[in-house]
Amino acid sequence: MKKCSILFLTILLITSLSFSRDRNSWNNISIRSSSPENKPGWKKFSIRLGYNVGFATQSASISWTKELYYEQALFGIDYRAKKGNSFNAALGYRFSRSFGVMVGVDIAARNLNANYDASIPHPLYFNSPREAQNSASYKITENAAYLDLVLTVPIGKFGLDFFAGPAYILSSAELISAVQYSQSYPYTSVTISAQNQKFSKNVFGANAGVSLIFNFTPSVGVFIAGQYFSGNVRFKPSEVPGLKLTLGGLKAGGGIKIVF
Amino acid sequence: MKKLASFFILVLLFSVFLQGSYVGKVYVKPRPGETSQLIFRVPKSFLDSRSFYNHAFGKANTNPRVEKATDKACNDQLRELHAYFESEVKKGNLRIRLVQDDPEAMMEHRRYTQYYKDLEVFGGEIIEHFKEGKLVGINGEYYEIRDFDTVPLITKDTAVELFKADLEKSNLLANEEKSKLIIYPLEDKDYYLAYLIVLGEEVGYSMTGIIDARTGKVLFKYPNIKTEDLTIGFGYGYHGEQYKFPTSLQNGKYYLADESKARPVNQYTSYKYANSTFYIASDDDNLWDYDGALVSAHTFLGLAYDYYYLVFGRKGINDNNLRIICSVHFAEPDYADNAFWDPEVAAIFFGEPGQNNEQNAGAIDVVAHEYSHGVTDYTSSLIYLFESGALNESFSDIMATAVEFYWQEPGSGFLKADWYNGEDARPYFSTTGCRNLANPNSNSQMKNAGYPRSLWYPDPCHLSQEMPIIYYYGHLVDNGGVHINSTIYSHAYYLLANGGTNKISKKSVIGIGIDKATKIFYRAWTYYMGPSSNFLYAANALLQSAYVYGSSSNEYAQTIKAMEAIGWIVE
Repeated sequence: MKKCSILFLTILLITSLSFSRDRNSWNNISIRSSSPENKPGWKKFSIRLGYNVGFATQSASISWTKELYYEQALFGIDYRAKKGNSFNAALGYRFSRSFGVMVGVDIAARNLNANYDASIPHPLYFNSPREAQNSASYKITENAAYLDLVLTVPIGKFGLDFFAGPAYILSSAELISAVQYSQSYPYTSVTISAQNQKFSKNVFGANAGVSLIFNFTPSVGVFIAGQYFSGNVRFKPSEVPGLKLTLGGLKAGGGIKIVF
Repeated sequence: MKKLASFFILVLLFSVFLQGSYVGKVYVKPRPGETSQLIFRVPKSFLDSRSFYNHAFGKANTNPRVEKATDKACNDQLRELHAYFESEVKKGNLRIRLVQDDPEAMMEHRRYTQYYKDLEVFGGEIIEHFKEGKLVGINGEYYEIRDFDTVPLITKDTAVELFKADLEKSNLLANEEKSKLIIYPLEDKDYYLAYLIVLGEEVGYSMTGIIDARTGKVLFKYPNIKTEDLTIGFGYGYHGEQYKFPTSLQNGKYYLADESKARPVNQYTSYKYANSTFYIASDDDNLWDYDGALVSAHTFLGLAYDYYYLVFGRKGINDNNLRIICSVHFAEPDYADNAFWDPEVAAIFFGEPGQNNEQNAGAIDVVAHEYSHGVTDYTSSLIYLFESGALNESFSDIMATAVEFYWQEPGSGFLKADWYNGEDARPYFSTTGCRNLANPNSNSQMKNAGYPRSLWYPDPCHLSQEMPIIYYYGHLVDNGGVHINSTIYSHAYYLLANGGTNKISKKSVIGIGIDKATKIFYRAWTYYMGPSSNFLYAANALLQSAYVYGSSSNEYAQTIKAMEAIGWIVE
C-alpha cells in the first residue's frame, strides 16, 4: 500500500510537471481547433484488453486453542495463496494529449492451499495428545474495478502510459471455518477434516502501473504493462480466528490497445 | 390503447415472475448463537427477499436478516406460504420427515424434506410450527429447481470407488441404505445431481461424501462421527491425583457409566450394592471430587481394559466385551481391606477400609488383579484351590504388575510402578503387607493374616518354599495356599522381566523386559493352561509359550533359566 502511494505520488508529480508543458500545446490545439478541419492530433477514447501474470504469493498462518477433554487442543492453519493470472479490460478517455482517465476491471483468481494441523488431547489420558495434519485446496477471486488517472508520453510509434488510482476489489474465498476431528477407540490417532465456508468481501484499495505501447497503426497497438494492486481484506470464519489477506500484488502482462 | 394493453401484459407477467420466484427463496438460518429451531414470523421483506443469498448446506449465511412484521402481513404471508407448501406436499415435492411435539410450548413442529423428481434435495427442509393447532411460523430452506436433468452419468458403485480414492481408504464399506442419488444445491441457482455416499469402517470411522453424478468430482465431504458424543468426566482419585474417564449424562445427572461410547464395552462403577442391585455413582456437574475411591476404581477398570486391548487385542474379560462392573464401598465386614472378583455376577467388589485401612480401589494393580481373575475365568479357568489356585493368583499379580508398569512411571511411592502388589491401597505409603514379586521372602502373608508364629511362612520364591497344605481349626488355610504360593511364579515373572537372582537357588536370569515376559506368561496362562494345571504344568506351558520366540532365542533361554531359578530342572 505504501509502495503504491509512493508510485501514485510520483506519477502525480510527473503529471503536474508535464501538465505545465502540455498546457501550451493544449492552448495551441484550442486555437487550431477553431478551424473545423484542425481536429486534435489524438483520439479521445481507447480500449485496452490484456492478460496479466501475477507475481505475488502470500502466506498467512492462524492458530488457536480450544479446551477439549480438560486439556488444550491446538489447531493451526497455514494458507498459501499461489500466483494467479488475470484478465484486464479498460476503457480510457483522454481529455488532453497527455492526460486522461481510465476505468477498468481486472478479473483475477488464484489457488489457495491450506495446510492445517491439530493436536487433540486424548479423551481418556492426560498428556497424550494426538497429532494430525491435512490439507485442502481452495480458490480466491480478486476482481477489481479501478479508476485511474493516465499520463501518456508518446515516443514515436511507442508510447508510455503511467496510470494510478483507486480500486474497488471484490474478493471471495472459500476458507476453513472449522477443523473437525474424528477418532475411535482406542484413540491412539485422530483424523482431521476441514469444514469450509465461502466468504465475500469488497474493499477499497489502490492500483498503479505503467505500460509501453507499440502502435501498429494510428488506432491499434499492443502493449506490455506492469500493474500493482493493493488492498487488505479480513475474513472472519465462525469457529476459527480471522484471516487477513493482502489482495492483488504485482502483475505484468500484455494486450491490445485500440484508440478511436 | 395497444400500448396500454402491452404495458398491462408486461406488468402482469412481472407480477407472475415475482409470485413464482419468492417461494423458491425461503431461506432463514439462525445467526451465530441462535438455536437452529428459530421460530419467526414471516415478514413481508422476507417474502420479497429475492436478493436473499441462498447458501447451500455447509456454507452458512453469516448475516441473515430476520425482521418482524405486522401481524396482518405475517398471517397473510404465512397462509400464502403454507398454501404453496401444501401444494408441494401434494405433488410429493415435500415429504413429512418428523413431527415433534413440544408440550412445554404447546407446539408442534412438522419437518418436511424437499424432493425433486423423487430425489431428495440435500439440506432442503421446511419446518412448519403450529401452536395449539394454528400455524405460527415457517422456516427452513427450500430450493427452487426447474427443468433439472436427473440422469446420472456415473453409477453409484463408481461414485463409491471415487470417494474411497479421495479418502485414500480402499477398505471402507459403503452404507447401501444411506447412499443414494440426490440433488445437491451448491450455490444459489446452482444444483448438482450427486450421489450421497456414506463410507465407514466397522467401528469409529464414517464419512459422508457428495459426489457429482456427472463428473465424479467429490463436491463435499464430512465426518459422521461426532466426537462430542463422548461424555468425559474429570475427577480426583483416591490419592488426590487427576483423572478423566467416561461418564454418561442422563436426566441432567452424570453417572460413572459408559454405554460403549468411549470404550467398546459397557462399564459401570457403583457406590453401593444391595439386593442384587448396583447403584451407579452419580454427580451433578461431572466434576468428581467427593469420593476418590470411586474415581480411581472407575479409571483403573478402564485402564485395565485398555491394557488388555492395546497389548493383546483382547476385548474385555471374555474377549467379547462382557460388561465390566465394579462396586466400591462394599460394606460386608468380611471383605474389609479386601477386593474380589465375583464370577457369579461378573463384577469386582472393593470392601471398605478396615483394620489395615486399605481401600483397594485406590491401587491400579489391585483393580487390574481382580480384572485378571475375570480373564482367567474365561480362559484357563484355573481352579481356585491348591497349586492351580496359586497359579490363578499368580497370573493376576503378574498382569496387575504389567498394567501398573504400562500406565505408571517406574519409581517408589504412590502411583509409581514397582514390583509390589497393592502398595497404593492405603492412605499412607507402605509396602508392608504387600506381596513383593522382586523379593517374596520379605513378606509373610501368613503373618499378616494373623496366624500363629509357627505358621509364619514367608511368601515363597522357590518351589522348595512352597507352603504345605494346612488346616487350621478344621479350615483349609488360604484355599491350599492360593495367595501364599502364588509368589513362586510371580517371582519367576519378575526374574524373566527384570532379571535377577533367586535367593534360594542362587540362579540368575537376564531380564528380557516386561513386554516380552508378560507376553510369554499371558500366552501360557490363556492358551496352554487348563483348570487343573499345577506348577509343573505351568512350567511346561511357559516353555511352550516362550517357544514362540524360537528355540535358540534369548527369550526362550531366559525362560528356561527362570524356571530353573525357582527350582525346576529343565532337561
